[in-house]
Amino acid sequence: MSYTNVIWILLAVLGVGALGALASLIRGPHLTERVISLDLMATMAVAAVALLAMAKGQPVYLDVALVIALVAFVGSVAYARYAEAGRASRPRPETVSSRDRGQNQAQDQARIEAREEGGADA
Amino acid sequence: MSPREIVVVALAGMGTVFNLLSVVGLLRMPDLYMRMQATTKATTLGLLLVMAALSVHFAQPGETVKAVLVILFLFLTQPIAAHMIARAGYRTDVPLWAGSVTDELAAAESASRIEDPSGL
Repeated sequence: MSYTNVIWILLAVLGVGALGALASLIRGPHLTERVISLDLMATMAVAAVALLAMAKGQPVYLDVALVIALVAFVGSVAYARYAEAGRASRPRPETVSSRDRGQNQAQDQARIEAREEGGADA
Repeated sequence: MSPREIVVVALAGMGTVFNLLSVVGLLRMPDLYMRMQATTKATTLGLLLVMAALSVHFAQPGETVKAVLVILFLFLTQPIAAHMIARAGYRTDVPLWAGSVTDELAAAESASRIEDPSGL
């Protein structure tokens, strides 16, 4: 078996691994679990491109690996920021702002009750 | 095969095996945080080995510099990305594994939520 054939076999093995990552991407119940599957697939794509460069004897492909590594990081960070931003729209009972809102509501309620009592007196 | 080719195949093979192990970890670990530590560390080492194989294969200064650049960039960014995704997961209430022993972040997170009105 020649030397480049071994590299091709390694590339095929890496492809099977990428299928496993794809299964995790489809399965993962949470958004962040899907994000780490995508991150893993991107890292494996970098390794795959490096192996392809070796198998083909084309060092130019290394630029592709560099670009994928760059873009994958930006993508992961963007997903993380997006997931954290989504949290802000949900109610958080422990924050100062929501507690203040609760106090204002209590004051409003007291004012409304006082007004109704006054109306009943008049 | 020449000795150089044996070194290349050994390095590339180990790198591929580490990448495969991280996939196994991703599929088998019980919660997000364990999956993340399996994927981040194993792929970083796997890619380091593949890039080492590549620089031995081409044995040219230009290619070696590019391989080192990829490795350096990955070593800088992979921990940051993992940290950000883990924090996003924790703050979006991704549950810990039922057998987890401790959650030291729980007290700090609830304290920071009270102190910080913006919640960010």
